[in-house]
Amino acid sequence: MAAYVVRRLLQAGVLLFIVSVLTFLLIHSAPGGPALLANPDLSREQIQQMTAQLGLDDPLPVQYARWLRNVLRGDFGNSYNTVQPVTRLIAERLPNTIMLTGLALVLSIAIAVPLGVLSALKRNSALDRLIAGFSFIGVSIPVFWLGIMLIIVFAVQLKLLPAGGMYTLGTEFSLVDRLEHLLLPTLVLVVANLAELTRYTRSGMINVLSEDYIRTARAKGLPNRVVLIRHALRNALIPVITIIGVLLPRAVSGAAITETVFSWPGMGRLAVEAAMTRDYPVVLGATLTVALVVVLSSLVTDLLYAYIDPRIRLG
Amino acid sequence: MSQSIDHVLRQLREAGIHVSRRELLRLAMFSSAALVSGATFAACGGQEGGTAGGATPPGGSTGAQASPTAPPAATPGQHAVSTPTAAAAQPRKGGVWRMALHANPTAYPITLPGALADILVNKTIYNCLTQYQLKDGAIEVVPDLSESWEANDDLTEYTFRLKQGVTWHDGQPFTADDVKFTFEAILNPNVNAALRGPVSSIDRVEVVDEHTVRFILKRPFAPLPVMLGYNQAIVPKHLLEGQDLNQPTEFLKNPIGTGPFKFKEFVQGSHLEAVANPDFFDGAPYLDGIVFKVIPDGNARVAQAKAGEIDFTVIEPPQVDALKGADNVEIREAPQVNYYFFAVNHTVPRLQDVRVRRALSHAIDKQAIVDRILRGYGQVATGPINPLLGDYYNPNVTTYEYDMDKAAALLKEAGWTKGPDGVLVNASGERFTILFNGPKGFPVMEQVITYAQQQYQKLGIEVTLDIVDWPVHLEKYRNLEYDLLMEWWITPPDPDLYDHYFSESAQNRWAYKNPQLDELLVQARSEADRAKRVQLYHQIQKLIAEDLPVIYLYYPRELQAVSKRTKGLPLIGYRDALTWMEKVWLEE
Repeated sequence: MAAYVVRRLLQAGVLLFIVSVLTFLLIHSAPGGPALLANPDLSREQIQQMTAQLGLDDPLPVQYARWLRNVLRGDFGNSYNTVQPVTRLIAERLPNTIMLTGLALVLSIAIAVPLGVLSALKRNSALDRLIAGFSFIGVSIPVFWLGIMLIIVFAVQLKLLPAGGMYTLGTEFSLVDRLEHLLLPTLVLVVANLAELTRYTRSGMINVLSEDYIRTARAKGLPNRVVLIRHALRNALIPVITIIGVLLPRAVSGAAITETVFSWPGMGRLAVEAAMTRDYPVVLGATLTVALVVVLSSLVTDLLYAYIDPRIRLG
Repeated sequence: MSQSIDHVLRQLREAGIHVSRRELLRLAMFSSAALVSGATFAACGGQEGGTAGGATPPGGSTGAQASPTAPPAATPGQHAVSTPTAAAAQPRKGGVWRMALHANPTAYPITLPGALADILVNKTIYNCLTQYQLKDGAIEVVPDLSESWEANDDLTEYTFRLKQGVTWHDGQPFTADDVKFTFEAILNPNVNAALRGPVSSIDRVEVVDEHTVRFILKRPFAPLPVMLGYNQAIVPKHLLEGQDLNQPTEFLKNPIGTGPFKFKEFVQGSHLEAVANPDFFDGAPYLDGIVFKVIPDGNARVAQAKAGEIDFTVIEPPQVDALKGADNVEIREAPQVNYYFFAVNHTVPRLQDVRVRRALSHAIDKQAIVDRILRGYGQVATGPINPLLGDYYNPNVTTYEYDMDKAAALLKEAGWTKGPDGVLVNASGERFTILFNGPKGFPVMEQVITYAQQQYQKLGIEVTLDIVDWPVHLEKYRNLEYDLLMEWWITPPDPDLYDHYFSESAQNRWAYKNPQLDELLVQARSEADRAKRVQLYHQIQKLIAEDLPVIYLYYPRELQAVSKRTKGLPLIGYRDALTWMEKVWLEE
């Protein structure tokens, strides 16, 4: 087991290296160059000079080697746009994003798993169709539209909730205030997540319910509750965990659109804004952070598989 | 959506407009996003439900998507600076004023990485030597950190007397050394100063005494006092000397200025907070502080204004309807020194013929653009000098009224006749094509460009749109990779056109060369006598209108959504209004 984890971590290192090379090539081949240099007030000479100062006139391999050397020393460079260390930008943004998307993920699971199970048990009933209907609506609504609509209804019209931001500026931290600011963006994310999770739970559960061991369990005369929870749900959760493994990195990479609509200072906005303005150091830092989480969460997912289904052997 | 797109495509093709499905989809997504939110806001406000008429593509016809009841355009140039005393109520102390920024600010005026957001924040934390105010419809320069100034007869030396008793936020005295240090930093070739252009006439700065500073110029330069107020904020020598002026990481943790507000904290992606400076040299501000909230999304800014969560944001004409119903928000039209135009690439042979450029101008109904796309919030441009510059502005120049027949005739005169497929060809068989560039994400500009494409295609010109991301747009602009390109110039409130129009100027983005104009431009910026200078600029405007280096479109007015509790904010473009924040107060 320990050997397995160590091997996976080594693989992760190689993977991160490849990701960094690819990201580096991609962002440098995006047309336009850093927005910093696109300032229309700059003269051609100034642009040339700044390009040299930022080291952007060196050949790409030289630039990459320099970047890698600094990263191995823990220096991810400074943002072109805000002149702040990339590590600090990410350290500030990551908790904000985890707070928002993490809460959304937990709520999504808490709602979607029971709904999925219910759907599977009452297959093709009116309830199943209702849940399926809501899932499809949820997955079809564009996030920016839902976000703006919620803001119009709850912030502009009813004046019940704030229209954006993370807290009321100029006030001391209060849990109620924070929750008020979290409510609408979380709702948007939950709606978006819900459909996927519900559908996967439902189909996983339906598959399992037709298995022989369920019939055996029922034949043994076990109470329905025990059959469902101990035998069926546990096995049905395997595909759900796969999906959660996919959603987890999403929780860290942030939800750029939701964060933009609700002015939430998270990772998604950081990465998208950096990509749009070709803020190379930030793009690389943010991508690597997300890649790291992807690698780790797939490792955790695999470990969870083994825990939930002892038939799965790691090694 | 897809069906209606196909329908629109078919209609456009029947009308002879060739646009790819992808292009159209992109445009439609754009406009319908704006429309949807605009319409929903309007519907919530209980008015103009009819605007949700559907996804009319931008430019389907000239501004067909504009609302039938365009708001009445206010008369331009009639705004006086409203001072707190002009209001009936007594100014009240206290309260925090909240303003929207579109991006993260950096409170450091020398290198301006984030440009606009930085400029706005710096206006309240720092001071320039001069600043601007509006008087009788024209912008005038008034002292800020300076008390008065004078120039020698040939305009090569300016002496500025500085205000006494001014202190930095850390208590240190402000002196002439700080001024010298600041301009030496801006002019230092190793410093990435974004706004070096306006002060590039300065050769050196001399400290005469603690409160007097002298600028020795490389050449006679009349507009220096104006340029010194154009985002040339003075920074503290005692904190920045010896630092890396391109990345002053230490200074940025606690930026120190002389302004009415002191930097308190910056939470990136969220806000920058500044608190009142009770020791401000022009009297303590009324406000307790200012919070600049970073709100990247335009619709979210409107929503927050409506919900009363911000006191100020600038908006685009299509957003006006969304805010009309709000009883807590006032929409103000502020004049600004800005003009929009189609840049013409003068290295392209077919655009070097002035008749062609005139035809391209005649084919555009500028009044319709102002009325329908800008919804009346603007004025047709006659040239690069703005009416806000008072008597420098010359309205009596050649104008190019909307006339398609004249445009067609001019093109014919220039040797372009319609070929068998309806596209213009010249004697050597060259087809008249235009690669039309514009930045993505600017609804008004996209509508204008699409409209222009349609107009030019009516004349038999093959137009390809090249709507690209902002950095790509600017790169293509810089490298002359366009035929026509839509842009704007916001300039200091001075008629000097040297930077943009002089043949050899680095900022002449169109490769436009006109020796006659060059001579006049140099003469006008060196002229000490104001009356003569006015005459020269009148001449320059006539010449420019004749030769038409670019296609002039309109002078936009800035639309400000201001909370009704905000009092004493001068009605002037927000870049300049923010230099007067010590006068602003909040009603209970």
